[in-house]
Amino acid sequence: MALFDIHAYFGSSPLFGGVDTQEETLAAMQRYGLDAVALVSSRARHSDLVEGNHQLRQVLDAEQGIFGYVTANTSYPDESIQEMRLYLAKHNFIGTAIFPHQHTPVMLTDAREILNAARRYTKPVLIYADDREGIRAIRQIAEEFDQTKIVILNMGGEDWHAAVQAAKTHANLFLEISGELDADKLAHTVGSISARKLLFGSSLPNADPSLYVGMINETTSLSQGDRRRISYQNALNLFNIEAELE
Amino acid sequence: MAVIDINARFGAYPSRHRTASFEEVSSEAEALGIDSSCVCSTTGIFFSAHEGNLQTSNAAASQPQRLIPAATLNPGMSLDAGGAADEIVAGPFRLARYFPDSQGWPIDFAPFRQSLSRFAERGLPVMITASRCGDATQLVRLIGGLPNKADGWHVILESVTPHTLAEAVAALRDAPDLMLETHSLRFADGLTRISEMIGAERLLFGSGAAAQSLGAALSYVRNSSLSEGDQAKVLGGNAASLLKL
Repeated sequence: MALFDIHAYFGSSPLFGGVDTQEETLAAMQRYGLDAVALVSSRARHSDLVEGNHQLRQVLDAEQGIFGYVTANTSYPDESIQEMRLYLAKHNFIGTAIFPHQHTPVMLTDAREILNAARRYTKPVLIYADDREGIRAIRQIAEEFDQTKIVILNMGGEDWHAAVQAAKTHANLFLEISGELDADKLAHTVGSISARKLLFGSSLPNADPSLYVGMINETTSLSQGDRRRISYQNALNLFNIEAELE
Repeated sequence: MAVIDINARFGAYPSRHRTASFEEVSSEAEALGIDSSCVCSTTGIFFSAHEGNLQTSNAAASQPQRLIPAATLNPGMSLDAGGAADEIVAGPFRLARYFPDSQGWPIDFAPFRQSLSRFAERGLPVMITASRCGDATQLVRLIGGLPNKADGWHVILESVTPHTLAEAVAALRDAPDLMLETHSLRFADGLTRISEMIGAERLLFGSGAAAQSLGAALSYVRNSSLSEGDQAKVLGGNAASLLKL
């Protein structure tokens, strides 16, 4: 089964390890059987936005299946928009990622400028959600920016039912499957919305991709077509990157 | 080597929306190549330990080859936690389980200490959730002070999250009585790194099924970089020794 992990991190952490170079990224892809990966800079997410995005740029290589996201930060809207201007025209950068701060969700009012700027690049925006508050905030965003394709990273954690409801309501919302490993998560989701709205992701190295492969394999109600779409094809379609990987 | 899931539950699970009978737990495990599951009833976790333990012992009696009974005890809901522990020891149970986070009691808690000391004296292994910061540290202190512990008695930490991982590893290094269940570890190839620090003989495969994905938990161990021998220990060898199977 081909795998495109759309939620992985560049930059190792003291606790979980990880990758700091392109070589290490390729080794990790081989280790976990990933055909393609889309990276967020850990440094950009947790610390220095500009330096993190800059470091990430050095390792991306579409031909080897290494893609990335520009990290934007709602506390730094001007700098974020400048970062998007620098990187989003490049084909290796396939979207903009926005993360909550210390359990405060990504709110429409805080993210509006960034989301407005993102519209001109026509690339998806990925927003991380820990819980139902995060999902509620994303629903407001999805309503106002209804032409922007938005991927919910982490599926709202334990509140993944709320994420499924949101994706059912909003045509422009997609779900990345990492987060909770509830046994009925995928079966319930595919029973509620199309498998075309689900994307494989792990949050590597914080979680091991084999966990989510195991969850997919365990879900007997998924057809072979569903598995192929979730694991790989949906990412190619959403990020419009078939040509690069071929 | 038999594969043993040390952490399975059956019954209603209100916060996770999934109810699974013990028959379902057993057949799902069998389908994935699990030889036996150490089960407890969720009734014992969320409602009545006594009633839950009765359900568990009946379930295990009906499928003795596949189900190993684990008792639950809620020290916050027992006026004689030591006596409740004695009843469990006298029953068919191979493991006693505590859920301080979902039952809302702290580790530094007299009824818990009283019941734990009974299990320690009688040598019945114990598994306890360690999802709150500080719990593993307090547990090390508590276990260290218990008198008359039986030889080979162990306490298993489960539900160790990214927030409590560093503390759990430090606790395992401090206290040889502690072991670690695998289902919530999650980080990339984490078993190999943890095994290098504390030894594979202190790791036990568990899933959190039926609420949690058994396939994910199994895949995490099978796809780790652990040697075949160490995987066999984690998947069942360690549990077989601990539970005296």
